[in-house]
Amino acid sequence: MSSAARPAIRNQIEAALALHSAGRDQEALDALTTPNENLPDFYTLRGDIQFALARYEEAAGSYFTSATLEPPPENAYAQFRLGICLHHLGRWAEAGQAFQRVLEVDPHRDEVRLGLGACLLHLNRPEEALANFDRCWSDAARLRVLFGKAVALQLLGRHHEAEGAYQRLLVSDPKSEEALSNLIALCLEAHDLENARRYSSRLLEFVPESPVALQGLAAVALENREYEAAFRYCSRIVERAPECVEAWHNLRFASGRIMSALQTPAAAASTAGRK
Amino acid sequence: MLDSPARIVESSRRIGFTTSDAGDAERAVSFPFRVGWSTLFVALESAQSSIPAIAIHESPATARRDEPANRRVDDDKAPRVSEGTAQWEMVIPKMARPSSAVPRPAPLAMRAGDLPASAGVETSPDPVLELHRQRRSKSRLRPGGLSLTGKLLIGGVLAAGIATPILLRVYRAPAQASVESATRSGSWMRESSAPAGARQPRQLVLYRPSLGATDGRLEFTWKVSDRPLAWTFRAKDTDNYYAMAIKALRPGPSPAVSVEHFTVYQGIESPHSSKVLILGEGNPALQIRMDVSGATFKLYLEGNAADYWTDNRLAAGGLGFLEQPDQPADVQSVRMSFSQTGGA
Repeated sequence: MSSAARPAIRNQIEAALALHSAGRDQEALDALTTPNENLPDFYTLRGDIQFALARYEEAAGSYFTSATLEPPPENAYAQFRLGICLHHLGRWAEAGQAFQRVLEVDPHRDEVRLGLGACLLHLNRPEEALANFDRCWSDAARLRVLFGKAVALQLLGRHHEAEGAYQRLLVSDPKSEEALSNLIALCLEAHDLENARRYSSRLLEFVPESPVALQGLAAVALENREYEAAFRYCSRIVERAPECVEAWHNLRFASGRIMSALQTPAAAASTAGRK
Repeated sequence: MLDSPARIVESSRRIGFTTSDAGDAERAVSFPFRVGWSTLFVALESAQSSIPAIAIHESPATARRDEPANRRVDDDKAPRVSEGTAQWEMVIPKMARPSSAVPRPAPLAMRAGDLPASAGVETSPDPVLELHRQRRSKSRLRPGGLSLTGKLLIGGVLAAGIATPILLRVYRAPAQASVESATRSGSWMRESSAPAGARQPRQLVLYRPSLGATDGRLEFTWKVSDRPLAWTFRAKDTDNYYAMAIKALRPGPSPAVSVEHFTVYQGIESPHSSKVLILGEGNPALQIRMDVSGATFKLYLEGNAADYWTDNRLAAGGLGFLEQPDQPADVQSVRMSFSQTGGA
């Protein structure tokens, strides 16, 4: 880059940075025009702004360019952000690779490891995810690590260990909606109806119209042939989530059972009367 | 917003399906329960949304230091878990790097007794305090290891005058005379601290030039013993400081030590967070390094990450040691480097 060009780009970046800091992201992006020279910082900043504008695909391109221009470990930031963008885009394998590259130069970053673990879960590799969570070390990440382990164990079918991990998590974070939701799924999968009902009721205490909790209660009620209760829960589900075809179906099923129960004594009485 | 990552879990049975139902045309169906783990990504999500406003004309002394692009190879082993701190997220243009640099401590590869191969930071006018022994010049940089970035960093440090690296060959705090003589020279100060919640009062022994330090590094050697050692940083006053302590739990070839950290804030001492570590064999002395950067504090033992935590309540303050009445600090080869708001 010529000496004359450098100040111009510096001014451009500084102007964009100031706008970005002020929350004027679109203007910040407009202030950046592609330089003649490959500057990693230019692309990193552009990625940050694009990310703030939720333009994840474009941001991923910018971070990728930045990460390519700089060798590790200097490109760790761009790799990290690239991983986040790819995660947003649902490109789990590539996101995992980006996180992995950060960890190669910086193995102690637990949030990167958590991101990698999440990608591995998406890729249906819970065993590797579990090993990855086991390598986390910080107290600050402890609860999320515990949660990640619980999910991995659940997906591995190690229900007892998973439930224990969720319960430990709930001791510290009793309102973890996702942990309770997963516990409901776990208990129903294991046909542990009593605990499914218990966790569903607990979730409903602080998320009064939680579809998962209502579905859990409805499932337990159906399993126990408590059709009136199932009808009530299914009614609440369809009010909140009318797209839930299972709830509509089970609502109809439960109402049919209730009607059958009501008709049976009447039919019996009618038969007795004829006799 | 992220889509919730999830996997559908089929119940092991079809709900509501019983023998008597089997012949029915209609039966209940399973709800699609999902296993989700969006919680795992919350940290990354929150991190991206917590990018602080960046002052583009930031003064050298107030510039944040932890942008990944600024990192040096000798920090590779560092646990850079920011846990939502903003530093990881900040991007400063590369041309601003010299001004965003803080004084870098000597590379870990350096050994005591190395001859100076480069004037480096040693030529800076920063105060260098030595107790007990004659001062030795030490290389602050690897010979021939200066990259352009490194030169810029050093240039920025020298030009701005923010660096205050000190090299103490020996600081032996139990020798009251030495500390007192240092105090007389104006470099060290002692203050009593008795925060609520503390088991007993303690003395803060602070390096006076560091009192306004923002970010920095404290390194020293500790001979493993059952006598605990505590140090402090961001010591704003006797009622506000961060502290760490280490003590041996089990002697022997592979000693076990406990490391704990706590905060004294507004005169109240927090609960101590502690962990137990098993050390390698055959090293009676332990190299301890404390990195203070923004809201993140990292501890290294023998160059290996041992502990870290974050706290943003105290932004600046002195570096030094804590002494219990009958347990003076006993350390060697103390080295500090730090930056100060407004320059040193």
